[in-house]
Amino acid sequence: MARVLEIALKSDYDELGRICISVNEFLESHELSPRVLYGVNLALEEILTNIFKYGYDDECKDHDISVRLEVEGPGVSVQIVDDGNSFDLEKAPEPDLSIPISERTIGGLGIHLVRNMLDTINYQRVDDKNIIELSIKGEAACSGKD
Amino acid sequence: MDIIEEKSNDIAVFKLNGSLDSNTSPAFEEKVVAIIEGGTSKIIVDFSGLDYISSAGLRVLNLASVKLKPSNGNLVLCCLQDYVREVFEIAGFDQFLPIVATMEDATAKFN
Repeated sequence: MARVLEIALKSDYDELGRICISVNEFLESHELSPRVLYGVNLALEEILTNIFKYGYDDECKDHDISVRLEVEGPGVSVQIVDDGNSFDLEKAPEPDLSIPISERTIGGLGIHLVRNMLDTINYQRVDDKNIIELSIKGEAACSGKD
Repeated sequence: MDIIEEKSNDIAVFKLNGSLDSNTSPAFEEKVVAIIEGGTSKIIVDFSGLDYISSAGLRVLNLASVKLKPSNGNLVLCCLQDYVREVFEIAGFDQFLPIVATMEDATAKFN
């Protein structure tokens, strides 16, 4: 069973459906918890939509983005590489959750969820590319066979 | 994504099945806004069949909650999977949206 999935996509919202299907086929072929499956899907949707929305100054939907998933024990590591504007996920401002909801601007919520749901996030800017690496650990399954 | 809409007495119940993501949230937003603008102020959302929600889905629930304010209405969520509940807590939404374990508990909130 392949432990690595690599997907090349364009900077287009229409790509999300296709990505979602291949990612879930891949993840479901491994024994991962529903929380880990959820975390990987959340990270991909929130980060990719963020790249589509803010990553590029032109309207072109033809920029290349690559996604790589690797299953590591009960967890998964995710790498997303794009050539859009620099965006450091680690330093994005936290939304102010103390403001009454009706007055709150809700921007930044998706990134806030990703930062708190996943276990590690690492950002690098290399050769005009954003490289985001994330991981979600998951809990080792209880074998019960000992 | 499958949205089943039912009305029992004056309470509207939405049962969501599948994923509430950036692709499916607009359809749910349309239904929930229509029902609030039609005068319903008591809404229950049943999450038992929901296995995925992103910030796009949370935004719809936030919008519904804001739209219910003028009529002193209420939005109650029930039957969330553990990790979905965790997301509501991370977002701080559990501070203003009642989240209960069962449909009976949700109905009781309006009695």
